[in-house]
Amino acid sequence: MRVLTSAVPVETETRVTNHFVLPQGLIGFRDYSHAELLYLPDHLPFLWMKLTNPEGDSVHFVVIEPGGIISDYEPELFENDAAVLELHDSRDTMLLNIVTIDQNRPLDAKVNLIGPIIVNRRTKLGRQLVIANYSNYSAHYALVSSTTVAVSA
Amino acid sequence: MLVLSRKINEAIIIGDGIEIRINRIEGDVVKIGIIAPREIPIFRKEVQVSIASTNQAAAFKTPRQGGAPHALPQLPKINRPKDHGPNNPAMDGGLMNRTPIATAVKANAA
Repeated sequence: MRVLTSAVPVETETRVTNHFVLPQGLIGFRDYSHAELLYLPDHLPFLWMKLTNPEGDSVHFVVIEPGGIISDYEPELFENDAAVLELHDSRDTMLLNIVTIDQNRPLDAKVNLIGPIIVNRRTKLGRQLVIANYSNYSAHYALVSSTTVAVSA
Repeated sequence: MLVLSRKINEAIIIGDGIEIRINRIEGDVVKIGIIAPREIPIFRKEVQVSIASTNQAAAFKTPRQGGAPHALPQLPKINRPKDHGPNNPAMDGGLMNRTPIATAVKANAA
């Protein structure tokens, strides 16, 4: 796992095992197929997902693993998606939800619950997909008002 | 784009096992019945559009050689019931089976 030691993600000697591939990129970011998870200890539970395209352009997203943060979130996958990702065991599955953060109003952070990124930890393949029970959830779930909050200065 | 005219209760077949039937027309609303294999994802296009726009809004674009966004956003602090600490993104071996996705995966394994 790569730990970011400053606000700027820098290369460290830490063994990097948190790469994965999104063969189709993200919806709207088709070529950005190389993904890397980074984190700053101060930012947890938020993680940074860095996506890179073949030209070397990169884009960062703030993501969370929803377990323990968003209660009652039980996404179901379409069978086709589970089959393509070869997901047979929930222990192989990593779930990431993209967070939209307005720099000026961080407490209004919204989480996309209907289009998570699902990664097979074993094959390191992932994709952003629409969950089968999307009608139960929102693409703009208010993260902060719904959790126990300690507002930082 | 292929355009076909259909009346109520007429249908269209797509490929192997997908049938789209016009069930009812009420004003400017058309009720469409879809028969498809369970594994085929079907959802309203708005869902995909909303995910695409969410992705755009959430993205921090970075210069070609630079590693980081120009300015990191201030992240809200969240207190979790249990803080799992930096093991959280457990791509490097740890099993963090905390997400209730098991049901969906079970269906696939069966």
